[in-house]
Amino acid sequence: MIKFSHIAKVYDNITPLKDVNGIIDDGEIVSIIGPSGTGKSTLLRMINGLVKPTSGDIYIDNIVVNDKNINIITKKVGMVFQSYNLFNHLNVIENLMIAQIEILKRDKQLAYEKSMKLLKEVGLESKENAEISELSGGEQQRIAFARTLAMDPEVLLLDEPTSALDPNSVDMMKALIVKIAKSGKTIVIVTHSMSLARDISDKIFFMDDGIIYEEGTPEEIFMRPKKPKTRSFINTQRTIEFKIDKSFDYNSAISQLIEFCKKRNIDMRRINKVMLVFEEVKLILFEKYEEPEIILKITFKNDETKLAVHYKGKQFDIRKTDNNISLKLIEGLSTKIEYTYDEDEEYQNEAMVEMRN
Amino acid sequence: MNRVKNITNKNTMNKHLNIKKIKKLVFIFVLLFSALVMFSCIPSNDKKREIHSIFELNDENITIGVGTGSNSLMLAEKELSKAKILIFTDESLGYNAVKIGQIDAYVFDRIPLQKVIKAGFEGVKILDDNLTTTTRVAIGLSKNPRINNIKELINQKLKELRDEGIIDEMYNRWVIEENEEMPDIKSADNPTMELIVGTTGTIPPFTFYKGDTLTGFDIELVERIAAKLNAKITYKVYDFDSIVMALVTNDIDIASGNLNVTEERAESIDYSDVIYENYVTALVRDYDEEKFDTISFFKDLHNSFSKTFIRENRYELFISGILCTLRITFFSILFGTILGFILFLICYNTGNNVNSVIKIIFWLLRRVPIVVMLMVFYYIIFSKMSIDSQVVATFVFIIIFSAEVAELLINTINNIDKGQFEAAYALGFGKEKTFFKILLPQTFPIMYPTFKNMIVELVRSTAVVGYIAVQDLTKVGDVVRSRTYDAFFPLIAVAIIYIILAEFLIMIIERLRNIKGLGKESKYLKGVKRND
Repeated sequence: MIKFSHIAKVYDNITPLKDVNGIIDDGEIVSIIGPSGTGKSTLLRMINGLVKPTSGDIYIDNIVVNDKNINIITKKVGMVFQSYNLFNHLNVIENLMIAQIEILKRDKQLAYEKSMKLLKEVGLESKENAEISELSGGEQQRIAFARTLAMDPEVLLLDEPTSALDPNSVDMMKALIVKIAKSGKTIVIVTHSMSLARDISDKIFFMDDGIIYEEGTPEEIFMRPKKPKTRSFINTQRTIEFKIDKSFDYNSAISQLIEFCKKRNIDMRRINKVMLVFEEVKLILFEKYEEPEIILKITFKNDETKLAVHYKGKQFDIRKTDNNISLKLIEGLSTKIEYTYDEDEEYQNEAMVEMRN
Repeated sequence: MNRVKNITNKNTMNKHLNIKKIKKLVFIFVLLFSALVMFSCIPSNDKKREIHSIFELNDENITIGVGTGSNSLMLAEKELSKAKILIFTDESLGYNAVKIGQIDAYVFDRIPLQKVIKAGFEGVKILDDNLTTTTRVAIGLSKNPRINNIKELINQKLKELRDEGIIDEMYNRWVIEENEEMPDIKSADNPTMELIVGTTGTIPPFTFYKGDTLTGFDIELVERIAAKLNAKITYKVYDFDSIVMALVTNDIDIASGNLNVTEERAESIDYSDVIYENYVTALVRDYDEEKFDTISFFKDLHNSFSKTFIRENRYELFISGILCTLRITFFSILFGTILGFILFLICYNTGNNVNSVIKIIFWLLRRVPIVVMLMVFYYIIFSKMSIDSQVVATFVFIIIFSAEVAELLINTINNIDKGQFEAAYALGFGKEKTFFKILLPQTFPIMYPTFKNMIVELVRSTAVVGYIAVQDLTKVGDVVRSRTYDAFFPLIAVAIIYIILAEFLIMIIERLRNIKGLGKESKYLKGVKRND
């Protein structure tokens, strides 16, 4: 159990944290969300002592986090950094082994086997001997995960685990986090990704005004926020994401979209156009692929609407479709359609549709 | 298989390239070298002006050279006041300056100048007349001597020697007959005192090196005095600039070696009774003798080589100089690196207070010239302790090098991404472990090129230790030059030896680096059974 008791952090000219109180139970996945500059990362870093509070205490299983208990705390708590921070002078397997050997004094052979098992789990066993500089961001993130897990922490701190990742890696990361959570670890995530927070958390801390302004289940925070600042924050999120496959429920997605737009005062004419394009794109892709796997992100900015469509399968530009009617409709509603293909990505195809308002 | 073949190909290609590169470099070097030789040997004829009398030198259009702080300087300023005066720290450079026409005359005591001509130094001649004032030569003494009654003792023994006719006999032998054989003088078996003698070793026939031993009129004189005093002699060799200062700081008890009595010096040091008087004349260019052709040039080169290295076993002197330079450099690198590391660890482990103290030290070290720092340490800080000058020099360079190493470490570590510290912390690495296991292995490859440059720089900068009486390579070059009157060859030889020394040190460092196995398979995987 992690307990925050009257945490404050005061810098010379700003006070990001005023009085944070809260409890995270064992085995919970907690996402900390909120506007920029509200001390989310600072709070996360306090859990393993990387940042010291100006006043107040953090307890992990009733052990106070301070310099004296640093060894116990860092053993209990693992952290995966936003910029991964893998050790540049070591290769992948050494990165996973070094702390096991140096800190836990594990036998080299055991450390090696544990590392290989974890590499397999994150799907990167083939990169055993790779240098860090040879890896993509997503791969580095997963190695950093494995390196932290190798230390068998009870608590896992994730700082923006998806901010630097492409959509494919985001999905994989979500799956990984859920899998780790099943093993009973407590996970604390700081994120700007509402979909990540919504999809995997047991509990959400919404931070603002230097406190945990509102806490609740994802459903409570995202669908029925009680307090005004939470509500306005949730409503400023301008992107909604859908995962589409064969079992996709189109109607429920549409009602989600409509509710999303209503809260943001997006006018009905714009929504109708979006729904039309959404449907035509889905139609084209469902005709093309037998087992379609699609991620569709819709972003509403002030004067433009964008649809980003990522899909698995062999190279296929939606503009080359045989379905001329659908294509004509999309073209009629959009100002620009772009297509890219990258076979290294999990979702190899990407189509971007920019729409007229 | 293919891959192996490729690698071998690449290797031979690299080797090939290297040889080609080296050949090219050597070629360029030889070309520059010969150009330099040619250029330096051609006397400039632009202002041909034959000089017959020393008083012709008292003219606005004349430039004369004199030794620094010598009586010739005082006399020249007085009697040749119209001429432009250039001051030389090294006589042989002055003689060469006359030869190639940089100056019109070099004003100095007649006897050493006669030695120059006798030694076969060509293209110059000595004027027939002298300045009206003579210079008086004596032994220099401290005003606050370590040995209380030293002045009385020296004067008494000088008088005894003069009364016995020995001083006149010596003068005749060394100066008139130019016999360079040093007679056997029994040194004290059970010395009752120690006499520390400072000399220059660069003014034949008074004080000079024969092979690697000091000899000359003044050397014989002090040894005779020491024998009479039942004293043991320790020599320290300085250039003219420093010898007076060494007396003032009681670094030496007496200074001997054609030391002129001047009013200016008399303000800071004391003198014994006058030993002999010298006439001051000038060395000028001899236009009759000028000739230059390639054949004689190569003959000269061969001659210079044998003069510089072979005659009187001078190579031994060079070897001792090289060893001295290497010793100072080696210990400075070794202990400087260790000390620098410790300094860095102190900075790394403590707060800003200590940091700023060390920063102030660095700041000072970077602003005071090395020569000045050497002299401060030798003549001021360590002057009361009788520490060998080579040890002082090494000490100073250890400090300088350690500061550079510490600074390099600080800068390199500061440039390492903060994330590396954070990740190490989060995994449970303490401060020390973070440093040794995470940061240091990352700094080595970054630091290495700079470290190599620092070593080359260090070898070069040790060349100034001659200022505190250390006989390093540069100083040995000076000593040999003063015997051969050949400025060019010893200088080039010394330059080449420095290049070789620097390359040699770099080679050793490269070797060490390969032994350490940086960048090879890490220790974490050693002995691990891997399931490929």
